[in-house]
Amino acid sequence: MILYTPLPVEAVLEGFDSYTPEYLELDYPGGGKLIVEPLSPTEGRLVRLISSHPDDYLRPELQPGTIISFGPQRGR
Amino acid sequence: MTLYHRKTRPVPRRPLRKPAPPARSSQEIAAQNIQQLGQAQVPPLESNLHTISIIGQIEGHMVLPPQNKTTKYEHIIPQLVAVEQNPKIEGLLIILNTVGGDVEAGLAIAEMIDTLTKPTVSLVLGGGHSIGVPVAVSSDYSFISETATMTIHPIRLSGFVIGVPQTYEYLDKMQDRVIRFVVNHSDISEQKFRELMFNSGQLARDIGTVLVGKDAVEVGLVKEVGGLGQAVARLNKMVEERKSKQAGGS
Repeated sequence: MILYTPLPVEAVLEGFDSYTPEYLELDYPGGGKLIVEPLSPTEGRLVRLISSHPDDYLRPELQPGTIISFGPQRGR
Repeated sequence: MTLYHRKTRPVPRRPLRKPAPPARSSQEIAAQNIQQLGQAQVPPLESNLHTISIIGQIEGHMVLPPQNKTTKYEHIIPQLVAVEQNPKIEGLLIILNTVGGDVEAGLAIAEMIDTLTKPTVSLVLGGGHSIGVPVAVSSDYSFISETATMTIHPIRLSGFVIGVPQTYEYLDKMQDRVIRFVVNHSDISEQKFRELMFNSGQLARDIGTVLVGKDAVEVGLVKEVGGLGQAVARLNKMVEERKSKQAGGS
């Protein structure tokens, strides 16, 4: 990975080693998957959307950073 | 201002004045207020333009720590596919305020915007530094606001570096990718761009050049100094031209 930025690389990558979030993978109606960083047992921040339908990426409720509510995850 | 406007806007399909209901508890009133707020939503406006903002760091193959604001290329790229394919979208406005980021991700976005068949206009606000430069010039027409800056500087290696000549060659190759893209998609000459990139004496701790607003236009990197109004007007004009061309061709 080459970062091309005027910022000092140390500033960009600060905390890189300690930043190890655990992600949940949720299905959503329509066939795609959502990668979510859990904030509480029923809520999480959307990190990534995995879908083969391009229009899904235009949906405002599926933009990265959106807070998503979901049912409690089994086995967690 | 906006709030005031919302409050006074008549709510559609609802009698304007109702007879005052009997005394209600403050809770009930609060609940009703919230319902009204929900109703006074701005009606979904049918816009034929789509806008993508490239902000903060352009994030590449690695997730950056949370102090960075990032643009996620894995979301932008399929979104560009949707822009190309969705018949309701007729033009794309790209707004840049970025401090650069991953070379591969930035070039990928730039290539996607470049090969989009629909009209594209980019607007650099605040800053379009480093890998933001190829993204800015990838559109059909580019604007920079008067106070916005673009920093052009050599690529630096970060992380694990082996001290062999091949490392330098690799870096040079990466740099050439950026230079070639910018030169092919703007009016700047390769010689001039390299001169700006390796300029010393402008940046305190680095070599390179900072271009402010009209400087970027003068060297031929960006087409015009302008803001939001000019950018949208230009894009609308291009959309119209494309429509009339298509109508004439069929």
